[in-house]
This record gives sequence, structure tokens and C-alpha cells, in this order.
Amino acid sequence: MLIWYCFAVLCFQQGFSFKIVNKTPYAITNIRLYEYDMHIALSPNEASAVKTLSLSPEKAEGSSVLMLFAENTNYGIYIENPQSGKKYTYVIDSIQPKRNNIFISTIIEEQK
Amino acid sequence: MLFYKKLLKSIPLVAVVVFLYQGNSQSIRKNYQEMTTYEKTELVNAFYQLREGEDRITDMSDFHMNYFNFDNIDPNRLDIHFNLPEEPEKEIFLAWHRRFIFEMEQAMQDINPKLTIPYWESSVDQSTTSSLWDEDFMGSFNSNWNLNRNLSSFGTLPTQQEVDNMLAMTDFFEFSDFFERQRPHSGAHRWVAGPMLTSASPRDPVFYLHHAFVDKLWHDWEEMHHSSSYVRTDMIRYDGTYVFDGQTIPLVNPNDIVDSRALGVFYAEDGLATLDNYIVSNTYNPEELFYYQYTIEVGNNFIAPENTTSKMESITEVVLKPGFFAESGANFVAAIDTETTSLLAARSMVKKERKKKPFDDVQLDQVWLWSEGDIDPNDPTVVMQTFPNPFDSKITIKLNKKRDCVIEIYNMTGQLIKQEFFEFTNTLEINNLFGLSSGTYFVKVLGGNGETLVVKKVIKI
Repeated sequence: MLIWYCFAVLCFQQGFSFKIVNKTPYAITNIRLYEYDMHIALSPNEASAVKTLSLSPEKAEGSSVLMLFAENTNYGIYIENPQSGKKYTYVIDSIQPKRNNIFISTIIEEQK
Repeated sequence: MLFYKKLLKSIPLVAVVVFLYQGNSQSIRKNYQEMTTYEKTELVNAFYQLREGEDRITDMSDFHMNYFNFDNIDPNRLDIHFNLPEEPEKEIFLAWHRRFIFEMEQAMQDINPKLTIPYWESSVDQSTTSSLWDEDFMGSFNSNWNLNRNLSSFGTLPTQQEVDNMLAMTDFFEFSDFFERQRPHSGAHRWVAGPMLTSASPRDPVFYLHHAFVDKLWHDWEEMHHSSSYVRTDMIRYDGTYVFDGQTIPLVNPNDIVDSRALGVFYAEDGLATLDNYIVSNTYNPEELFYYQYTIEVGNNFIAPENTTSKMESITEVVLKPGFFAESGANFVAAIDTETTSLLAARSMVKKERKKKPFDDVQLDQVWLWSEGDIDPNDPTVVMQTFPNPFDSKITIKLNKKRDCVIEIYNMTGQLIKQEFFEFTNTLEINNLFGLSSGTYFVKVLGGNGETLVVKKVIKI
């Protein structure tokens, strides 16, 4: 049991990678993901660089939220809990400022 | 029989239904599965009504959204989420949401005083075909409000073991941080999806049922540990600057509402609502109405003072237990909701059976009634004078005969503030009351055997 636990922890510590793509017509700032300030702004149709992180399962569960600012509105949305060895592309498909709606999709790939 | 004679002399106890045409109520919150069909219908109608006109639903949603994690924009700003563990001085998650759903409940009670926000026990009730999602309950909002929920496709709900483990945590901030971030809170947001995934989650009415459960779990934790305490003494939104519908919402100290009783809120479970440690004040409502279709037990320092109005209404039974006090001059009513009862009978609905019948374990002569300044019928020599009243730093109490006694001071929420013991004396001085906030308190004098002699209302200036 202990061996399996250690194996799982080691696997998880390999980390996962992610990037963010802005498909909306709006500039996006103040992007925060897994509680990390990305220190980036994304213009329409711009993508961030790929970043790799290693989080404990509890930290991943508790911080899987994407936050951003666009059109004078502060958006936040829960995202899927990341798994080690995967690559996540979070695509911000649409923002509807009048209705305060945000839609994102997630592309998950195996990490190479 | 003696009890009933006393009761009838002292309290206007009414055993018939009195319809309320105006005013609001305090609340007994219950699992939505314990709501009557009438309550469910009225709740759904209230949500629809609140979306019209001033649109309280969108207003609440916008506020939740704007302050979801506002320090993401400006690190000096306050917000309602994700402050722990690094910024305990900003933490308000549980208290803010307690006040938030209370405000929604108040708006609902303006529509129908019997309404309370029920809770969805997401650690148990996990089926996508549960009656929660029936078209005549939360289901209809999905299509009518374009919510695009996607039940069970994204994330999982908490297990009962997770909830139990969380309730066993002893440090308040560790408890609050775990609660907010992990599945007991975030699980339902993910599992329902649609707006519940986003910071605009209060747009989905099930948000309120979920957060009533979150609030109940905090209530349960506080009942066990008694150690909820915030660094902050004021909360965002309720900072005196927010105006809705022409009304400025006053400042709220999160520490003032760590006990749900401070808002008149009690949680019922498994057919029983226990109302205790509470003083009717009519702070929020001209009549405090506690409504539950199953058993309401009232006792253990539940006090209805003079010049207050309160009502207990059940379909099955209201039990007055030891420690229930109704002052003469209080407008207190215990009633059976005969209209709904007859509807239940007409529809052949099954009432929830409880193992114990009313008064099975209650000695009727132990139910205390009291009246400010009245003479205790069991001991007419005990008369209490309290001075000064209003008081500043000291209260002196004179009894007209020497005895062993205990003085207890309670605040308006029924919380015991101070307790002092005295041996064979008739002059009782309680000093060092500088630290008490201004307001109304109750001084209770107990005899040497723990029996209540008299209770008196005092005011701190």
C-alpha cells in the first residue's frame, strides 16, 4: 500500500503543463491560475507560453480556478483538476460582458 | 395541570392558525426533502419573482462575481474567496456567504413569511435524478434561465467521510480553508456546472441550497468547537456603502454572526428542529415565525421577552421543553398549521414518524415562565432590583433575602457572556463590565440548586 502511495506521489510530482489561449475579441489581464499570478496579458487570439507545475493533489483540488479581468469585469471559473503527465490547453472561447458569462474549453493531451 | 394554568395565565397561547398578511420571519432551515409541497412551490415562485423588477437574483450574482477574488485586480482590496492560508486578515468566506444567503432569505420572506432557504445535503444526495432536479423544483430554472447545467460531468461531490473528517478539524482557519477549497464546498459548484462553475454562481438558484448546506456544516462545526473567530471586524458589501433598491446595507462584523442564531437561523434535521439559546428580539422582523412541518422543540434558554412577537408553527407538533421562557406581555403563539395538515390528509401524504411522542421526556412543571420584575410563584420572597439600569461598568443586584446564587449575563442571541457565583448574600455586584458592547442583555439569577429565580433585562450604555 505504502509503495503504491509513494509511486502515486512520485508520478504526481512529475508535474503537468498548461497554456492559456484567448479566443475572445477582448484583451485579458490579471490572469491567475492555480493561484499563480501569470504576469501576462493576452490580446485577442493570443496564447500564453507553456508553463509546467507540480502540485500536491490537495493543492490541485483547492486551487483549480482560472481568474482573469476583461472589459472591466473580474471573472473566475473552476477548471478541471490537473493530473500529472498531462498537458492542458485552456481556451477562453467567449466572454459576454453584458451577461457576465465566460465560456472556456479544455484540451487535454499526454505530455511528451 | 398546574403548568397549563400558569401557561394560560401568562401567555396568549393560541392553538388555531393565524394567517399573516405582512411581516417577515426568522427561519428553520430544513433539507429540501423535508419541505412540504406548498413550501417547494412557494420557493420556486419566489425565485422567479425575485428575478423580476429590481432583479435581486442578478444583483446578488453580480456582487458575488465582482468580489469573488478582487485582490486579483488590486492586492489592497478585500474579497470573499481564496484568502487563506496566506491572508487571514482578509478572510470572510463563511461569514460573508452566511450573510449573503440570509439576505436572499429575507427577500423571500418579504414575499412569503413561511419561506426559508432549504439545504441540499450534497454529501448524501448525489443522484442526477434526485427530486432536487425535478421540473417542478430546481429543474425548471435550467431551461427557463438558460443555465446549461451539466450534472455530474465535471468533478465529484464530497463523501460523508470527507465531511466528517472536516468537521473534526479544530483550528477555525484550517477548517475554513479546507472547506472553501475542497469538495465539501467546491464539489457542488463543479458537479452542477453551468453558472455554478463560475463566479456568477448565484445566478443558479441551487447555489442558495448548496450554500445553506455549507452554512449548516459551519453551524454544526461551531456547535462542536465554539471557536470561529475572524481577524476582520467588517465585511465587504456590508460596509455601509452598498445600496440596493434605495436602501443602504449597514456594516456587519463577521464575528457577530459566527452563531447562526444571531440571524435567527436554526437548522432542522431528520424531522426535528431544536430551538435553543435564543432571545426573540424582532431585530429583523416584526414577527419571528419559525415554521417546520415536523417536530419543533423549543427550550434551553429560548426566551420570548415582553413586547416581542413570535410564533412556532408546525404541521405535527410543537414541544415546549425546560428552559423555554415567555415573559408576560410577550406575544407568543404556538400553533398547528391546520390548513396544510388538512391538505396533507386530503392528499394522503405520510407524516414523518418520530420515535418519541411530545412530552415523553419533559416534566411539564420544569418549563419555566418568567416575567420581568414578577415575583417567582415558587418563592415569593425573591424579588430582584437591578441598578443602575442602564449600566456602564457595574451592576448591583439586590435580593430581599440572603441565599447562595449564580448570576449569568446573556446577550441578545442567548450567548452566555459572564457567570459569577455568590455565597449566602443578598447583594450581588458584578464588576468589570467595561468590555461589553452597548446594547441589551439579560441577567439571570439561579438559586443554589441551579433553579432559575428570575430574569431581568438590562441595558449597557
